Amino acid sequence: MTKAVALVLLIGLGAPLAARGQAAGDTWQNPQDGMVFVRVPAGALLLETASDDTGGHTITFAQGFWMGRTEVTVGQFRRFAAATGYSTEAERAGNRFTWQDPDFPQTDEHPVVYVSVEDARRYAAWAGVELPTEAEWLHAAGAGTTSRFHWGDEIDDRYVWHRGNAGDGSRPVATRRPNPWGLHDMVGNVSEWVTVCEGGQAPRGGSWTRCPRYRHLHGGVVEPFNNELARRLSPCPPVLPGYPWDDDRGFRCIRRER
Amino acid sequence: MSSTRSPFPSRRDILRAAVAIATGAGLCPLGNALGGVPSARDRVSGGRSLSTNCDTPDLDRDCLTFHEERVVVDLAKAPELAVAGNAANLIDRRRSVELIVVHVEEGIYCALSRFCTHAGRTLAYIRSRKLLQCTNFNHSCFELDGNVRKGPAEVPLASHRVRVRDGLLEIDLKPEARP
Repeated sequence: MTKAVALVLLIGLGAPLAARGQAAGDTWQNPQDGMVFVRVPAGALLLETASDDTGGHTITFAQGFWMGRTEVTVGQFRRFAAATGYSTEAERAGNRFTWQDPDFPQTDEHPVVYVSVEDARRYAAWAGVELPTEAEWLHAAGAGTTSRFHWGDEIDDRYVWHRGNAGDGSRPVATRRPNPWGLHDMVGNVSEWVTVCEGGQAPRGGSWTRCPRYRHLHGGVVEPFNNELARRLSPCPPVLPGYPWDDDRGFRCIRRER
Repeated sequence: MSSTRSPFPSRRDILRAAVAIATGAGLCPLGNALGGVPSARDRVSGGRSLSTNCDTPDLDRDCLTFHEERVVVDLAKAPELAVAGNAANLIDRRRSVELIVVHVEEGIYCALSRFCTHAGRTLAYIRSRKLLQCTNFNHSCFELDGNVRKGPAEVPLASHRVRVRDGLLEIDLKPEARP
């Protein structure tokens, strides 16, 4: 009996992730950092047509993958830093603000910020996961919808933290409604590092610093969240923002099935 | 739980600066109240928009009087500035005047260039942080004395001396010299 029980336990613990569920919204918890991953189903991502008539094509995901339900939090990153002795690039550079002191109040439930691409990669490696590609991220963020945002075409404060409702800092993860596949804060709160091409990453998703609508220098009104949510792929290499880290930039992880 | 050091200047710091200005030893451009409280403080908007984290209203021309070296704001005609914590743009393109005026605390105002020194985008006032923040992607942040709090901007904002007298703001058109 003991051997039979042990055999069943061995099979259960060693079962591939695929056996844990294939339906959208199924969850799996990473024992390394406690992150809950949500099943993103196989499907197709229709990309926008760009002004030069490129794009407008479809990327097909033959199989689904698992994506972090939320952005990686301060608490999770703290466990990583404590376990590995890791210092972020901003800390090593002597930056005035860091993930531990981003210049606004935060708790362990806030998304970690002031992390560079390399910081995110190191964390992901420790946690046994990876950073998503831009296409994977867009597929997960859109959740099968075709509207500008996964909830519709207009900003809806029930779903997104932006500068208008969170203007003095990020907010704890998962305190806005999720998308149809159960992913929180794909829009807003903090933007997230994605891989655009070999050696090229860019932040996507918008953040708490982004205005839902604002006027530029000459009075023109800018669309909400600029291009951060556009369903098109960035050029390679991407045009990077001015800083390798910032107070509104974090990341979430992906687990692919091999 | 991480530390929650407040990034905001304390009320004591603000008041200390105001006293310093009154005694002629000011180190920042905050204007202090020498006269009475303007009646506009009780008219929150008068139908005109108030500043938000993203939007800053423009002061109407009818509240501005330009002199050779200063511009005077009639606070009775500027409901945008009636409430402490609000800000408004002071714009006269013909005279190349482009400022943001902040009503920091009751009777205390400051005036600075309204363009970020990084790429020239407009600034908005974040009341809860007492910072001016660029509305563009990289969102540089500036203290109310013009110093950079967070980049990528590296150059401080030009600040302009403000005096409050009898319900009027007198703002020097020439920026203050930086130490």
